[in-house]
Amino acid sequence: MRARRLALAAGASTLAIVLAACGSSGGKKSPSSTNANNNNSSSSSSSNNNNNTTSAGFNAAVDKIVNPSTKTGGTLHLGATADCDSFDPKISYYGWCLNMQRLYTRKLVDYKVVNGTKFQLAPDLATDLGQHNADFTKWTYTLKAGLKWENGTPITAKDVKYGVERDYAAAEIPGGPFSYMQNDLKAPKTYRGPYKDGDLPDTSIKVSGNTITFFLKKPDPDFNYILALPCSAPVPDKVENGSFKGSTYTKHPMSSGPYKFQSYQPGKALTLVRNTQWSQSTDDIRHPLVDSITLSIDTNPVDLDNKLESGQFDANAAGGAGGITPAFKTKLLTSPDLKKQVDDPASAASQYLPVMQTVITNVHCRRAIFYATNKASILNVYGGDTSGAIAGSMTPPGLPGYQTTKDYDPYSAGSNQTGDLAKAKSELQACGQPSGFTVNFAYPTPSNFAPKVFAVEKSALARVGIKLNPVTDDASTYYNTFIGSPSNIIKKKIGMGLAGWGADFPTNVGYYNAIANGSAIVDPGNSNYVSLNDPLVNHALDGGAKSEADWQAVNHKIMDDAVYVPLYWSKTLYYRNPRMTNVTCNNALAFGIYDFVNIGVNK
Amino acid sequence: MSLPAGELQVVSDETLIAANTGADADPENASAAIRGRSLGQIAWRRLRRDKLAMAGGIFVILLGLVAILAKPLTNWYGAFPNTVNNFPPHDLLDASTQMPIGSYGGASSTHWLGVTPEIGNDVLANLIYGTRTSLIIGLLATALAVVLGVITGVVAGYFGGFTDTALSRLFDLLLSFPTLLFSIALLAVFGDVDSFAGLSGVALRFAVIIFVLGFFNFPYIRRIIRGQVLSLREKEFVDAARSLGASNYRIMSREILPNLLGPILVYTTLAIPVNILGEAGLSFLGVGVPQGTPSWGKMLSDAGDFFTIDPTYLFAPGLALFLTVLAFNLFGDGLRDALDPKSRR
Repeated sequence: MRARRLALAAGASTLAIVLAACGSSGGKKSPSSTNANNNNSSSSSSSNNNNNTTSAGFNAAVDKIVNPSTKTGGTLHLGATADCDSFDPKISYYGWCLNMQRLYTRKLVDYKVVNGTKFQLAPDLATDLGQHNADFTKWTYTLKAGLKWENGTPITAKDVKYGVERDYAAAEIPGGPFSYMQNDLKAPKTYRGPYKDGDLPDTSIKVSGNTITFFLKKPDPDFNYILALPCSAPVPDKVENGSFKGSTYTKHPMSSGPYKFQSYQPGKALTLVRNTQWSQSTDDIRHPLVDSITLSIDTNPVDLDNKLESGQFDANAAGGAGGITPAFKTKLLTSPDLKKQVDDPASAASQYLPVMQTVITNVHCRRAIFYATNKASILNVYGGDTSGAIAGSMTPPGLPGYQTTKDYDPYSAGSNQTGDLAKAKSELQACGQPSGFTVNFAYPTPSNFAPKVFAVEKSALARVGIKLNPVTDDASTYYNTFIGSPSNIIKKKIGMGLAGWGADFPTNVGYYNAIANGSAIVDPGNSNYVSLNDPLVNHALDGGAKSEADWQAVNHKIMDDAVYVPLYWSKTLYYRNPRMTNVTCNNALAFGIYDFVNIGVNK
Repeated sequence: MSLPAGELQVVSDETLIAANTGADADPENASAAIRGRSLGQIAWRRLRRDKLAMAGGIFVILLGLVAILAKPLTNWYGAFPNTVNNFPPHDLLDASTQMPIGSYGGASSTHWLGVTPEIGNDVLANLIYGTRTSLIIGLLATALAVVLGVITGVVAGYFGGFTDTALSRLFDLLLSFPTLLFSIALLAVFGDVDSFAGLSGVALRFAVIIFVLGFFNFPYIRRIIRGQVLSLREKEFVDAARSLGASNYRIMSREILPNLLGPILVYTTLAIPVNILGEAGLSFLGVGVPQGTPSWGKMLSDAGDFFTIDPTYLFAPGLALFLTVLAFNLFGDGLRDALDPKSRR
């Protein structure tokens, strides 16, 4: 999979302020989830009737539904510090934008709240989670009856096929997590999308009436996760949305969901109103309550926080990718009344320090860095407990094979995670540089956090004689051409860097493939910054891992290779306006941002 | 700034200095004594009586001492600028908010001005080392501006004609540049340069900042100097020197330059705080001194994220910057008055 880095997810919140402020393409984030249970059949149709509800309280919406209500009407006001990367479902990749897609884009399958706590895959446009052959290379879905676009025309299987064909139109509509589909689907190598090359042949995707069959070039038991990405959603075949076609489709994507675009001024505001052609009887994932939803872009994060506090905005739609400022955070956490309106969900994302094996070739030298790193200090720079939990290894919570730091912490930095200097020194002996060495440490600027993390790591490694030199690059190019280029890493002798990663969907492949599979190494645009090319890991990611134990072995092998210093598993702080009802964190997407499509408002 | 150059020049002529230096009479009452004193002596007497200027001057000297003695000072104080205090057993920050524990930014007997949020760096230690950054850049950038300004100003004013027109138009162009934007762009470009002219790392960064500040400031002093030289070159002593066969270089350096000492001195004192503010501004914007180098501007920028919850952190660098600029300005104003024969003080 071609790199889809993601953003520094991490600590997410504030980093993104900076990114947003400079208009860079910051946090592409990807969905992540704390619940990895997948593939359970669509199970019953019941959805929100559960006893898992509550009024308010700190973290109340993390695993419960806050203020359950069936009251309809009103307007939900959302704010964000920067606009979406795109509203075209094919291009949209920021985690919070994938969440916004739920308002107007339906897919064959999507995530549904089960028992008010877990987001699991469920049929959406399709009648079930697909019929597959024995080796998972052929998937067939049947569309429900009565599905309509916002203009009243029926949603057909051909529209689904056309939506997937758009994933190949790299020239006309670049961007998005399209590479997952491209890596799976058996399509002609030369295919350049529907604008240049017309339809995909029936040997790739076969449409017959209201059924559609996907033919894959390799087995993929997790294919439903790829169909749940907005870039697999249907788009009206050939016509798209009349004059809004190709690169302008983002200005008014044709709605298949409960809301449709009323007006959109890029970079300023978006207003969504109810789509009268959508029918509740065909959709048991979405239970819309409000009449309209507004999204206002307010590029000043402090101003946005003020509007949240005053109630002018109900929530920060971008959450992790433009989250609350440190000042507002302190206010929220120190006022008992405000703290009740705060959630701090975890996500399948990690913050870590890649240690380049191409530059620091001796594994003992790398391990010295592992032991000397002061994880407690770095987590505190990012905001402490509310920003994450110290990670002992790479696999984040929610994925098969995950082990707590208590159970598995191969380079334990002591009981308070401030570094194990004795072990670091003995690794330095083993690496033949007992008095330490000098390392170039890469980080993006401008950034609120990165320079501070560098300062803290520098002071931590200095305790054993390892000296750090800063090497920086503009945040807009850092991931793509700076540490995303293996040749640049060698040229600039970058020994370490700063990075974060969130899973595009809650499976080990969705999380690890781009950052650990040797076949994912590209130049530039690499996300496997350390150029890890380990046969065991590659084999597992290419379909060899079958069980939880296999994935645990992958995690252990990556730690043995000593290429990523895991720092912490991310959590993100959100503020919810008390007038919102039916609030719950979407733990399948976007760092646990609220599931806006099901939220109502009082008053 | 306008110094009546003609009068200054007469008084400063060395041949006029008499032996009569013992008298301590008030110059306003004893005009005979004035002729007996050098310009320097007169200026110093006036300056000494200007209490504000003296206070400014003393503050500036103290600041210089702090900058020079930063290391022994912090050793004695017991805290250092880059020490991290955010983890056990020395965690000075609140676990959930990562703000300093205690009021006034966590001020205590060991951390007099508190510590920074998130990392727990000592504020006073950063302030002390920040003095060094401010003064080094402020002084060197000013020196660069003065050297460039005096050379081009004297040459343009002395030769006049085409040379003057060419130089003046060229540097007027520089005056109309969007200086701040250009500085940011230049610094950003140099951010990617690893080494240049034998410099690298922190030294290169400092050099670039000094160049940017000095280069964009020198046209101002150039204009003042040129104006002075235009009138000086018509004076009799210049004619005299020329008729004795003195070379242009000798006239400029020996006859004209000494008479420019007053304006140069005053300009220098007033330019230093401008450059200190310039450095703080660039660092505030994130294109100034590199990470790990304490700077008041960077402290202000960091503190900006937190001032609504704890303004202490903002006050320390803000006050330091304010007092420093005020002190230099008071001293500079006093100096100007002291050097101005028309001053009624």
